[in-house]
Amino acid sequence: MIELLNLEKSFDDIKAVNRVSLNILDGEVFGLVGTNGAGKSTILRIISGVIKPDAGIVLVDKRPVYDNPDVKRDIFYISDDQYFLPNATPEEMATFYENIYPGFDKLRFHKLCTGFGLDAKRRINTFSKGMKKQVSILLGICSGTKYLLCDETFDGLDPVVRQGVKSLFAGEMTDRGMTPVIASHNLRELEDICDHIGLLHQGGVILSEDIEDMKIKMQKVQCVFASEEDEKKALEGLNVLLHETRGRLHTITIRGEREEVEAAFSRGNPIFFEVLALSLEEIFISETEVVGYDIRKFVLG
Amino acid sequence: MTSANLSLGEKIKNHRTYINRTLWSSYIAFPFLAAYFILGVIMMVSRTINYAARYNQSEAVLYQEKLRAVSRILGVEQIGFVLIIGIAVMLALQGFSYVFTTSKLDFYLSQPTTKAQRIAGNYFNAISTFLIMYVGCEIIALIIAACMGAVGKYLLLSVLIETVRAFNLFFAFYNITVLAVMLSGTLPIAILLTGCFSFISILFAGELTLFKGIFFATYTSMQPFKVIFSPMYDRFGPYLYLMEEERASYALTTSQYINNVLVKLLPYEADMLVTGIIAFVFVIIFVRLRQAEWAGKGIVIRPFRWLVKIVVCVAAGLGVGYIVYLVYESVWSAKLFTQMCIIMVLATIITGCIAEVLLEGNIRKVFKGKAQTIMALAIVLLIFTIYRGDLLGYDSYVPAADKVESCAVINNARSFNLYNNVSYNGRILDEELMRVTNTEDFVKIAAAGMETRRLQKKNYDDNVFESLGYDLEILYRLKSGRKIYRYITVPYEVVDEELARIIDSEEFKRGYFDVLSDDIVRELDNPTLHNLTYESSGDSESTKNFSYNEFSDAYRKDILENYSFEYMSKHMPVGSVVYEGNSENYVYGNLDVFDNYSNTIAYLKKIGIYKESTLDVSSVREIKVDNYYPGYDTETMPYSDVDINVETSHASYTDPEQIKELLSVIIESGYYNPWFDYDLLNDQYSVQVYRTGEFSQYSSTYYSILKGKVPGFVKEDTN
Repeated sequence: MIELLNLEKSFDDIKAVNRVSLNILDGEVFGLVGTNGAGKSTILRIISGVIKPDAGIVLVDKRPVYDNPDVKRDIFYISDDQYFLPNATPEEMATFYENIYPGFDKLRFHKLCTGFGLDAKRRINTFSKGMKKQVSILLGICSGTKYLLCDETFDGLDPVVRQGVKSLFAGEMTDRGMTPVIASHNLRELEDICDHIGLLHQGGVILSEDIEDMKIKMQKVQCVFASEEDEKKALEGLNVLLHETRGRLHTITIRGEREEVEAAFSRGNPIFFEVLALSLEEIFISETEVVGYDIRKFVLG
Repeated sequence: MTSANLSLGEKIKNHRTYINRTLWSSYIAFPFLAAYFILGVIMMVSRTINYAARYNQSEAVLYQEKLRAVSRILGVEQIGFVLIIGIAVMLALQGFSYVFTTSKLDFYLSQPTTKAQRIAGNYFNAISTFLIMYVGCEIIALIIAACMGAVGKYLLLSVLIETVRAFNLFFAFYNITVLAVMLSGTLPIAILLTGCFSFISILFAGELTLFKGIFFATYTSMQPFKVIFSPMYDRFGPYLYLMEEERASYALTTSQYINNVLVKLLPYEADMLVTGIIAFVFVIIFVRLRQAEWAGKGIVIRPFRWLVKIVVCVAAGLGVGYIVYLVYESVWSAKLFTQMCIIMVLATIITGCIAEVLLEGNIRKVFKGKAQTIMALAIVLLIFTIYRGDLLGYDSYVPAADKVESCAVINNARSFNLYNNVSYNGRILDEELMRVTNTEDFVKIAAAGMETRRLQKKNYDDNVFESLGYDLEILYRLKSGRKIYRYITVPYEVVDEELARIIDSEEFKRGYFDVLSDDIVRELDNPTLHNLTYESSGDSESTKNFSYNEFSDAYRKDILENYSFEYMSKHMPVGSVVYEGNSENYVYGNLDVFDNYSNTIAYLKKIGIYKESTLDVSSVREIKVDNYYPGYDTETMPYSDVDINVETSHASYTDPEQIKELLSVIIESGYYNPWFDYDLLNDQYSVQVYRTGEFSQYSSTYYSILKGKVPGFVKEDTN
């Protein structure tokens, strides 16, 4: 487990990370979401031991990470701007990592390269941006580390490759309990892969929750009432987060479990009633608006 | 299979791949090193063999030349150290430049290593790469040299010493560059800092030495230029000495050569090693302090940034001060010191502004960092005040006699010049040959000389040019081991007794006259290829039938028996002997002869080349007299009252009576006698004597008229 407690980091006068506390549990896919400059990369760089926090604690499996090779052996960090040795080929990078990570599986790397259509003997500097990302991800997966930190890694991957990578992640998590931590500014990119989301803004954590928990605790309902009285009866006692009306059609986001919401609506006897699936985006819009943020401004673009 | 099962061989192979990808600059350096060592040895030795064949050199000479040829490539005189410096800087920049780029930092720092392991790994990779390249090329070159018969015991020792020096040099420059990298956030700044570290101590030492020359009356350039903490200087400093030593006849064939080289090199190498170690310690400190987020900044540690700015400002302030002096050097006066100080202040302030703009990369920050500029200004003014007011007592320092082991007067007027077949211009005199132990008298002379020198300098600064005494460069060898050189002006007559005791002593003469140490000339003299000429009063006679040893013995005897301060202060030479040795090495000697050199004169008479210095009327056709200041009498009025722009007047005399009178009051002025009291001469007049007989119509000899004895007809005719 990765534990961050009251983490702080400033760059000159800018507070990049401001009292961040997060727990990343083993075996889950953790998504760090936030705008550029929200502190996602800084947190990943702190977790990977690249930079030292000004204050606070970072523990990976109860061990401090900074300048600690034993811990770093369990972490592979894929930065936003990947670096490869000058004029190196994927094969040479694999050879390099073979000496660095004891669990590196070169044979698997070659197989995966073939699978993803990457020429392991071609110089990486001739690869496209997406191909370079693929090489990084494959190197990270084959390093056999427990934690894989990905900074904007899915940005620039085509849908097929993204799906392939997701499958690989799933396989690694099942086979050896790998824990990916994925930072992105794009919620839609993380929706179908993350188990847990931490939302960062201006260096602080706005919220951190399991996506399933969020979905269970929040319902989106479309309905049509016969009268205003029926509407009042149905919504009485419910925690309504958002309420939009188009003609007689109501779209209401409510905090609460499905059974509780269905029971309440049955009191209002609606003409039409349907519980819809909530997207991650909608959950975040609802949650953050409640605490005073307009997430559309800083996450959805 | 995972990498946990890798064999050692596979790990080494993988590491080699890493080295290939990270220190690829070694691929550029290697061909240069190989070309320098291997091709260098082949070319130098084959050139030597060809030269020997063309000029019929003996086997012994050829062997010596072969050793020299190899030594110039592999030995302590090699110039390949420039490559070593380049390799060290290149490997350091390549190995540590990851700290300038965030993506590289993420790549390296996220790997499971500690900072210490990473630094140690980089050091190991760089040093091992360098050593493999250097030693590998060196061994191949030595094998080739051995095949060409160009290896000897002392050459191998020289190569071994050079290998240690090369490593020392590499270590120093590598550490300096790594330190520069650790203190900077971008590659250009790191390169600038490396240059700064390499040259800053030379720059300051140079500036302060130049300031001594400007401000101090008693400064002499004989004082060795001392630079500490500069591997660049440590390498270049002894280079000329090493080249000279390599040309010595015993070079590379005796242990004396190795001993001399070691003694000379040890202080320089020690300084280089200490510099390297200090830089290494700072590297360790700054590696711990350095943070990943500093990548991309200019100079990353604020106090060091201040230091850089202050140092640059001070260096610029002092440098500009010297430029001001250079511009006005020919018309320098005491008043210009104020102007110099003002310009130094302005230069310091302007440099502070420019430095700030460059460091910040923003022209709007031109007036930022006033505190550092003020500190630099204070240092510049402090240095100016110390030098201007001589607050450290440089111009008044005279050591206590009991603290001085021995003294010397430096004689730069050599009698002999030696040229070998590669235009080597050697000298016999060495300051170490003179060890005056009469320190009591020497210190008294020096004290008076310091005071007079200061007065003379003050006069010069006030545009008053008058010789106040004998100008001498002296050396104190202190018992502490220090050597102190000063330029003094020993006042006429004030310390003549002390001066006489020093000059008349054998220990003075042994170090002052190179004829007393002319063993090398005797050795090189070839009786069939030498020539001796005596010149006096415009006449000369030569012979090849003489023995140099006999001449030298006679001349030596005169120096030891007849050369005295009292005599020299009143007499000028009457002639001079020119010796030329035209064997494989060309030797040229010019030795003045005084009237009391009875042994020399007797020998010159014996070999039939002596010419009388006294002229009789019948031998003189005409005498011309120039009066530089007609209308004035410099014997009775100060020079300050003389209009120096007045046109010279001339007079010519052919009347025997006038010639006779003139001949009785003139002495030949074409010679130099350091102890002669030139106050005895009237320098308002110059006399040219034209001889009768075989002499050219235009050939004349210059004379001076004795003070107080200017004939009345000359005064009348020229005023």
